[in-house]
Order: sequence, then C-alpha cells, then structure tokens
Amino acid sequence: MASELRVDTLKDSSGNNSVGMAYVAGGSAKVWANLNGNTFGLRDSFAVSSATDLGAGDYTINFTNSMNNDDYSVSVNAGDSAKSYPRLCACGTSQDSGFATSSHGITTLRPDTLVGDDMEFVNSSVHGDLA
Amino acid sequence: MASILKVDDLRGNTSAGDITITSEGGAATQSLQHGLNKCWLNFESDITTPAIRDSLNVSSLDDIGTGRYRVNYSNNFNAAKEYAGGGMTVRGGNSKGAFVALDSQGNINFATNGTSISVTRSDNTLADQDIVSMLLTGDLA
Repeated sequence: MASELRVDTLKDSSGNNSVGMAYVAGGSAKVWANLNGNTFGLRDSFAVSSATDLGAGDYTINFTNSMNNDDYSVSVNAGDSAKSYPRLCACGTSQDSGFATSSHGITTLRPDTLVGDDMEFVNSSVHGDLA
Repeated sequence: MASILKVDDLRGNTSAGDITITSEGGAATQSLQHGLNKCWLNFESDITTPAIRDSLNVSSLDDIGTGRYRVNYSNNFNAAKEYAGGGMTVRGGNSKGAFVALDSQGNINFATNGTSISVTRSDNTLADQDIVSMLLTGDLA
C-alpha cells in the first residue's frame, strides 16, 4: 500500500545534517536528458516526453510535467569522441526555441567557427519549480 | 506546526529506489531519486596538483594533462554514457573566458565509474583554471 509522509525537515538520526523539504524538492533536478545528437535519440532521461531535432546542433527537450514558469535554470554540456576538435560548447537556448514551461532548447557549436554542429553527447539538467 | 523527521536512510515503500514528491505547484508528482544530483565537484587546477575544494560522490581527481582531468566516482552510475553532465562551469584567473566539456582531446570516457573532462579557453586552447565545477544527474547503480 502506498504511504505518504508529510514533514518539513529531514535530519539524520543524530539530529544533525538538517535539510528542509523545500531544499529537497526545490534542489532536485526536475528534468534531465542525455541524447545522441549524431544519430538523434534519447539515451536516457527523466521527466522528458520527447526530444526534437531542429537542425544541426539545435535541439528541443520537451518536458513530461510543465514547469511553473519560464524562469528556471538549465545546465547543459556536450562532447563528441569522434571529432578532432573536442572543445565544443553547449548553450541553454537555441535559435529556434528558448525557455518555455514545457520545453527548452539547446544549441551545440564548434567554438572555432560558431557554427551549429551535432554532437555525440548532449546533456541537460533543469532546476526550478514545477507547476 | 513544523515537523522534523530524524532518519538516516530514506527508502520507497513499494520500491526502495522510488520515492514520490509532489511538485511545488501541486500539479504533478515526480520521483525524488531520479531528480537528485548524484555528483558535484569544485576543484582548483592551476596549481601543480589539482585539488578538490569540495565534492559529492567523488573519490578522486586525476590530472591527465593541461586542462584535462578524470573525475572518479565513489558510487557508480547505472550505465555508461547514459547519465547527464550539465552544469559544468569554470572561472579562470586570466582575462579569457573558458568552458568545460565532457570530452577530453576527442576521447570520451563517459564511464560508470568516472568521466574525463576538459577545460578550454575562448582562444581555443586547453588550460588549467582557478575554479572548475561540474554537476551530474542520472541514475546510480
């Protein structure tokens, strides 16, 4: 049988290491995704309904549950083992989709040309409040 | 009235690895475990031996070259290449900006027990930096 526990603060059994539930819930990632930008597809994810390929190095992550507003934080990273220029970067927004309550965009670029480029690994984590 | 729960180990009732939390707005429920950050790290690398300032779930840090490092985890991830490495940032002691990537000289080492990362300045050169940080989410083994 499912059980529900209502509590404001968690501590260890010694009464130390206190953490409020607001930090537990607010500090947890609400969405994370690991996708292959070369073959395009999600390897693994949490609370992601789908990912969209918008073009070279341009993707959208669509959420299963909507965020409360578009003021959330997105952390992104990308890499590719097969390319001779490993020093590539990822940005939290793309040309085609920024932050919305139901999705966010990612752009991956070659730093030397600043041209969109698909990557083997494209990762994102979303922190903020759910609706 | 505020309530405090003193406990050392939280486990789901139906499934040990799955505790549900209600969203801030009350419209949805999600898994607590899946959303927790599983690893974070802050280290200094512009010294002879890179030094970890503080971390979670990091057993050690290897210096594998200028601007290149391997982060070793205390607890393994569930599957290689299937966790997310977001939130990597860097602050340098020079005027050039820099960023952190998961790859290292074209060799992804995105394993269950660790990953290699590289720090590149805006002039496209690998570089050791004053403050390097990273954040990983995903499922642990």
